[in-house]
Amino acid sequence: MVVVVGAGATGLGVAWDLVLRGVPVTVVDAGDLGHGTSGRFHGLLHSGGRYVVSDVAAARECWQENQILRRIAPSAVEDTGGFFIEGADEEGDFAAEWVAGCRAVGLPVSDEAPARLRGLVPEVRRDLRRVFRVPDAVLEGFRLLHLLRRNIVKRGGVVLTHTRVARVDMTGGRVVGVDMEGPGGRDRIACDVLVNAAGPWAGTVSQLYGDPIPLQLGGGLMLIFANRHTPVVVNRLSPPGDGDILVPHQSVAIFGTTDVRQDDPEPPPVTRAEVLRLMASGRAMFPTMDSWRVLRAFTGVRPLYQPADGKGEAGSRRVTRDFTVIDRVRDAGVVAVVGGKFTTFRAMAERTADVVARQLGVSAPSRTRTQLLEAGVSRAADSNGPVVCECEDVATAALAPMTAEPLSAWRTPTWLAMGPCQGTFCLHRAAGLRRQRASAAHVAAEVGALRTERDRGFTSVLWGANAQEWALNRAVRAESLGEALP
Amino acid sequence: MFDADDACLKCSLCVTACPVYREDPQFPGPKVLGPEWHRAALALPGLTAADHVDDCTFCQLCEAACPADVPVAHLIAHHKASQAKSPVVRLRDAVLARPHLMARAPGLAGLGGPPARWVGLSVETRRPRPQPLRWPAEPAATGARGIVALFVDCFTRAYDGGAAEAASRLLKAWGYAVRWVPRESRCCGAAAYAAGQPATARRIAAATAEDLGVNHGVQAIVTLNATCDGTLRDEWPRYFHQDVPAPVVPFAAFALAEAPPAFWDSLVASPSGLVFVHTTCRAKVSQGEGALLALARRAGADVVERLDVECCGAAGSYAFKAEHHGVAQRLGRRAAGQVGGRSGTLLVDSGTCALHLSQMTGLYAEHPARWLDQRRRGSEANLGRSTAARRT
Amino acid sequence: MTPGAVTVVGRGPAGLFAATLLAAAGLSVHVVSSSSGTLPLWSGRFNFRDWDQGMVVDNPWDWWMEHGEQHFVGGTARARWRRLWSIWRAVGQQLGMDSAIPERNRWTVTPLGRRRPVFWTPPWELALDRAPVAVAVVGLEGLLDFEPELVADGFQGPGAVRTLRLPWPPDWHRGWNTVRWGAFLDTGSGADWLEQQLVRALGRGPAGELVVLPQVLGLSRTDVLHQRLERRLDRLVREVGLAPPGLGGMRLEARWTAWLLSSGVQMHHGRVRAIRDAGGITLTDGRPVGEGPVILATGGILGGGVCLSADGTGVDAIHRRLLGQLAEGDDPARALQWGLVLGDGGVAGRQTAGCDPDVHGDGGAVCLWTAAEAVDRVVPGLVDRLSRIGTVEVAVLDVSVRGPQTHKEAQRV
Repeated sequence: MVVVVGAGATGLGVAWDLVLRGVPVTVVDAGDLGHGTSGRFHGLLHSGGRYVVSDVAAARECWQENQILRRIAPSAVEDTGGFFIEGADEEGDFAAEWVAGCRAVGLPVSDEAPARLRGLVPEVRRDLRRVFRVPDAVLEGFRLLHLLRRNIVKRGGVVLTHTRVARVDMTGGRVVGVDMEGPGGRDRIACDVLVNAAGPWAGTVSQLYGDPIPLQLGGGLMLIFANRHTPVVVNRLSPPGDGDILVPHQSVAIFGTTDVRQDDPEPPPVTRAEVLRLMASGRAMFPTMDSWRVLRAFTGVRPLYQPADGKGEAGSRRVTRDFTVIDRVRDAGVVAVVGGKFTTFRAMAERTADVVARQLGVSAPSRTRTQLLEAGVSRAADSNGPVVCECEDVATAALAPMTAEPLSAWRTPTWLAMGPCQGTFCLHRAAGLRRQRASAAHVAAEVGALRTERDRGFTSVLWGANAQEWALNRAVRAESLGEALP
Repeated sequence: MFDADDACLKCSLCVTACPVYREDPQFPGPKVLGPEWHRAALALPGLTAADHVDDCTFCQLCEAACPADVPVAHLIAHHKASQAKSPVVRLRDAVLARPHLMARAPGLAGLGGPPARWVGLSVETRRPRPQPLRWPAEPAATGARGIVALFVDCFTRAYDGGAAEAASRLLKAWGYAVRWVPRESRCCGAAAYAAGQPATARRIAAATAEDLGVNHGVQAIVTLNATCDGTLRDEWPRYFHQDVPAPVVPFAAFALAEAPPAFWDSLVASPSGLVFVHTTCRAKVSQGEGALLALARRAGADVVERLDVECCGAAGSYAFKAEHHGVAQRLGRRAAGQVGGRSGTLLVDSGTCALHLSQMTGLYAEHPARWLDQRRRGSEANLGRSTAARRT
Repeated sequence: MTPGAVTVVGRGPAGLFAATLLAAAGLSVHVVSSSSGTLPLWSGRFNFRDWDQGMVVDNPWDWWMEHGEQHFVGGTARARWRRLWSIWRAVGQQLGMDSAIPERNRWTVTPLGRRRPVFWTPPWELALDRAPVAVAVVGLEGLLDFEPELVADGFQGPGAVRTLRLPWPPDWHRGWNTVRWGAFLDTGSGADWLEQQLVRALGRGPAGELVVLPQVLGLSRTDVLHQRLERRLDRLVREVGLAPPGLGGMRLEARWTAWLLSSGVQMHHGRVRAIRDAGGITLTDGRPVGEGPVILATGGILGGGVCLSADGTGVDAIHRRLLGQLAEGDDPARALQWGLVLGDGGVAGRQTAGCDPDVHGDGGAVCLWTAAEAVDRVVPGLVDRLSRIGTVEVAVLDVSVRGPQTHKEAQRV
């Protein structure tokens, strides 16, 4: 049995890879699916264009994985295409270097007339020097995570959310079992190999098995706009920096990002100063951005492996500068994987699973490169029955399969409470459905928890119409629903 | 597309203001058809139009109710543009979207029987009868109180010429030189926009702006139709990208603000009978409500009653379309219920609303300018009689 | 000098109340607003004071006697509160909603099944001072805003509670919200449908049973339907206020504006750009509107009277004057209390009193008090002299006040 800690893209990816090789796997996560970095990214399925100058290996891998993910997870990828834009005021000739980089990586790129982009994205800045089209796409992160879970479970794997690893039993210098605390209490499972895919918490988890991993954590801020604004990904053509990507993500658009060093694995609070800084970068690409309604701001934490000597240590393989698979202690049965991008999660998972398989003596090769992740029901069928969430048109039919789960688990598979009203007009309806399966006390606690979660991203971007929405949200909760306010 | 098109709070105040939502069980309402559809269409290019979007009357009460300035009605108008329609209906709509051309052949409005049915016109809805106006000779260069332009809209021009003549007489009596504009039959663009043809609407409005003939020295453009009034003043700058050369003022508001006290004092002598007033939906949006009531009271009407109706259902050419007959009837029935068979005069500053409401309620509907002018003439006659009586 | 005309900006409850006082006193009144007021969002109830630091306030009369000074100038004046609520009762009567002014807070149940205190409610709304002997909570299939099981949680106690659900009516489709339900029940066929369904579903039921329905009993024919159901079922029928839109508030607003218009008040639609020295205001399109002194009842952040910017500053929407600044880490709820103070041209609205109606449940009291204060600034003594609202005489209440401290009997929510 392999226990994977972390139900983000990497952890689920490793589990998926292993179940396909016939290895029994249990994934545990202290929170919901993707409550860490995987649920907190901009949604860009990189073509690699962003890295062709700064990190050729990463760029090459992005382009490879981009093509693989389109094949294996078509239901989670929207092929929007992307553009790199160079404003008339950019200094130097980064574009030439960049085009050469694309060629070297083999990335198909076409030089386009700026007018063509303006036809697609009328709000982009007018003084564009050059515009290139690349095969960027949009990765619906939550949908991919739910797809992975669905397919893992279908093949006999187990995914336990809201379950914390309390202790790792290293009797005899080797992992033999894991004690877990979940909604059903404390439990122990036998374990042959432990995979630490806990992302920013990998350091914390590594202490449980006595081989602390040094991490460098960076917090990144992203803004979600209420409407889509662009049908294509728009990147600024300059060395990767802050605030240079706008990604259309279903009915919203996500703009990112920043990189601020931090120590805490928890996502840092959003600061007004950082929001204003990001908006200023945004204006340089989209002059009217100030008038776009910001729905939420959120931060994600990037974990990077940072050994003390700055180079690496015995037992660690730097696959690219991007991610690291660590199995330093021979025969301890512990493999850690740190870093990476959502776009390359499958490749990371494959290499991690290779190491695990070797330790287990399993010779079956990875099949994730070609194995289709089968989708569930279509959204069209979900729109039957009365409307629960008006913003994202979530109907009772879509929620019916999950009424036995807590309300917090309803959000990411359906986008319930994630639209412009941020739960103001749907949470009591969802609570009504949940009440048919849960006690009054449970429903009350779950409503409170979901409100707190929504408030976090909402209250940091209170201006204009969003401030009105917040005032309305508060009044509905107190006046109409009788909820106690925080 | 527009400022604040992403600002929807989902509060549903637009839905509470929508007259069609209340009368038509199948109508999805302004929030769904406007901001929600717009947001979805951005994410799903080529999204087909929602059923019943065409049932929107474009009264704009939704937009006026919105606390976040979302252009709800205009988003719906653009949504309408994505509907697929049969060639015959497209032809009918193209004609109805150009009322200024209809006005050049006013008799066409009488089209009935099988031809009307074939093109999808409601044969039950009352149609206007031609009543052309007498275009005046060049006015005096200026009056004692200056110059105003009288915007002679296409409906007035073809079917209610007397209203323009009455307004002109009153404005002159108040000391203004009156210049009638535009010279040719032109449309502000409201009909085309309402029918979901924004691009056509802008072309029509641009031609009208070109031809308006309002030059320096004109203090105000006085309008006779509440819809044209709002379109020129509010929508031209925001949605048509068209400037308006002078302040646009509806006749009733102009009368209340500018008619001299002596004029009002002269009116109290003649009895009026029961007077109803209806503030059209578009007047509520672009002005508010209460001016017509104030005008009727100021003019000494004995008993004035306000029709408590959001939109009467006429909505320009909406009620003329066969597929809208049912909703138009249901909307109009609210007025009929309130009037309850009583007889009286209904003041309303929109020709199509006047037609529809007179058909629904049995009231005699007329333009406030005509009514006021009649009261003036009646008072003068009374005064004449009493002066004559004193003399003898 | 008493002005002959006054302009009120805003048509929420405070704006309409100010207009009512002025119109009742015979002044010429103009109301200017850029959107529909917020009344149609809520159930139509007017709260006095519901909570104090998370505790239910049992007797709001006494609470204000004790704490009013912190919020309103002269806020401890009993006579003033009696007068304002007496006027409010007269307004209700004039609008066909004769509800008594209670001596203490009562309670209602919310769609989430929570008990919450209420003070003045329109006659159709659920407001109880003791637990009913038996309750039937009746939901409507497809109306997810009211889940009977959840609402029934609010009635846990000695009485018998049962939950029922009526099936879809013939024309129902998934887009029906409460307004559509209300419009349906306004029709003859809708009323017949509801009556038949209720009779069939409820049966005889225990004696004294209270029937609780979601607030969808019509928009314009509520009174008729309500009486008809109570007669036919031989039981009290009460509505639970739902999440917005609120049919109770819609009914109240429709009656109120209709009455104001018929009383000669002029309503103008447009956004205010400036207040004119000569009286009245100028709209953003340049039109001059209204006359006389101006009362601002522009509401807070939701109503658009206070505009928050990305940098954390808040300005008032008309003068563009800085009202406050949120610093990094500040609780944004602070911004809800920003506003103009009386004397800046007169203002009504919750922010002037430093109240937070979401936390305190005192929205009704704040509207009445601040609107009356603003009116008194413009026409001194008007509120105390007012003897009628339309055809209804203002009968000043005789509410017994038991003296200070009594509200501390409150129990925890």
